[in-house]
Amino acid sequence: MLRVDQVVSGYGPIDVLNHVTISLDKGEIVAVLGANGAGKTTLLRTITGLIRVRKGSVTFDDQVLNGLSPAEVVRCGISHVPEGRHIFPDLTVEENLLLAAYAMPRGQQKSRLEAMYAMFSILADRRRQAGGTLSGGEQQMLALARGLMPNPRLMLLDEPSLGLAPKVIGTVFETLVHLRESGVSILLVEQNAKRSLEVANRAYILVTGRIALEGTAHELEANDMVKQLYLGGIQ
Amino acid sequence: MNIFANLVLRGLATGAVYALVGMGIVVILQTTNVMNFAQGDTGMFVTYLAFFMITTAKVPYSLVLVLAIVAGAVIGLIVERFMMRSVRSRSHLSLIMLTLGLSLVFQGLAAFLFNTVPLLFPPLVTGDPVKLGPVILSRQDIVVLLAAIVVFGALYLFLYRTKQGVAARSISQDEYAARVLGIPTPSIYMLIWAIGSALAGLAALLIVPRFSLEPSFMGLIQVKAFSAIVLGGMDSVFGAAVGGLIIGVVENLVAYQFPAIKDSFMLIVVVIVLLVMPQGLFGKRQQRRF
Repeated sequence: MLRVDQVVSGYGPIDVLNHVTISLDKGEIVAVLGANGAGKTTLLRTITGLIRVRKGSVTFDDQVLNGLSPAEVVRCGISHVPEGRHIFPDLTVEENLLLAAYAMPRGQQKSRLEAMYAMFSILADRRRQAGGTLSGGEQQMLALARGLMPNPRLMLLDEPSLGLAPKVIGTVFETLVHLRESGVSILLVEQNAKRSLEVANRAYILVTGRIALEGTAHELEANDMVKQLYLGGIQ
Repeated sequence: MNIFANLVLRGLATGAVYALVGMGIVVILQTTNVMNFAQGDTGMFVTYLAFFMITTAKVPYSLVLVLAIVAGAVIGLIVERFMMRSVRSRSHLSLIMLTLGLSLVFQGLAAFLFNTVPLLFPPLVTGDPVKLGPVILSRQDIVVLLAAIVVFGALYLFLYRTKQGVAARSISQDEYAARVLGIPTPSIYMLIWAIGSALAGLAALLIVPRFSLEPSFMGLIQVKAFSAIVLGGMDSVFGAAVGGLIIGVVENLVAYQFPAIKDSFMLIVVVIVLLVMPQGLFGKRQQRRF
């Protein structure tokens, strides 16, 4: 479904990603794990067109995404939930959601909105409230709902567990499994390797802009290097 | 009492002028974080075009008003597309400097094309002043007041009821998030510059019959409009509108007693207000990002 093939990209004179190749099939949760600065966020930004692809190609269902604007990529069926949630603090919950389906006709927007309220009832209760007044967990739910508003086939998630209480993190990851069942594929970028490998089908380990290791979630959980470096030592 | 009511109402009419210019500036400012120093002179330039449409080409007034708004919008589109866009990713300060330069370009261009001899702009509306109970208002003042109210209402509807307007507000809060969500930010920037500059043209055209048309006639008005938005908190159309009206009224009251200090007095008031309330009268955002 998604193929990132030998991609090089970065900022200014620096290449952050060095010939990164990953793929994702329909109905999968694929995790990309790695330390700070490994290039995880850069990978997502490159897929959604926020950063230019310098070499290689990004294809989604046979369509080449190289050179498309973020708005065009969203219309192809890919949404991006950024790290740190980036809720618009002074816009209401409803305005936050509607903006995520900017290109949709009005009627469709309304039905997507209702679907989101059915899925995240807390957002329905807070629809007229400013986004900045929500708690961290509620904001993450809003960020997820924004990601789902355009009815994507693939959702890119950047550190959804960041800064959340363990209990809320549990809810977030349960939501991801639920989404996979409803047919949304997910590319998950995380530092929380343990939780990610629990829900993911497959995973890649990104080290300083290169794919160091790949395999099924079970294989990686059993891998000694992964245990040492990402799962907190010997278990 | 009659004098006081007259002074206040005349002051509101003057304030409506500052409000009109200020609202145009703040629409651009709150979305792009760029203080458009060329706002006044964009209007001045459009007014020259309007002057020759009226006097030479004999275009009817109502049509000139529409054409002036369109001309302002086109100037805004050009400024955003060919000047702001290419500099935006580099340096924020240079965007602001660019608008300062633009202001000088318009003044120079006007002086070169149209000469600096002050021209008498024909009145927008003719007829005797209207008596409203104890107060007397010129028809011109009434038109300006009504225009300010209509523009305020229209901007409010645009910013809160249309998806482009909500998108513009989202960009002012988090431009990165807006791009991530797939909002076509370049076209929103163009739209905002078009609206802001169209307002510049409209405002200048409504004001000019009170003054004489020359390349520098918007200078002081722009300073007052800046004061208005600073007073109003720099982040809302509402603040700009109310700030403009307050400045107009206070200025008019002061001018009645002490005509010599009318311009400087208001600036002192603004300084004092800012010392007590750094966020202005209606400002929400305490910290600004650059």
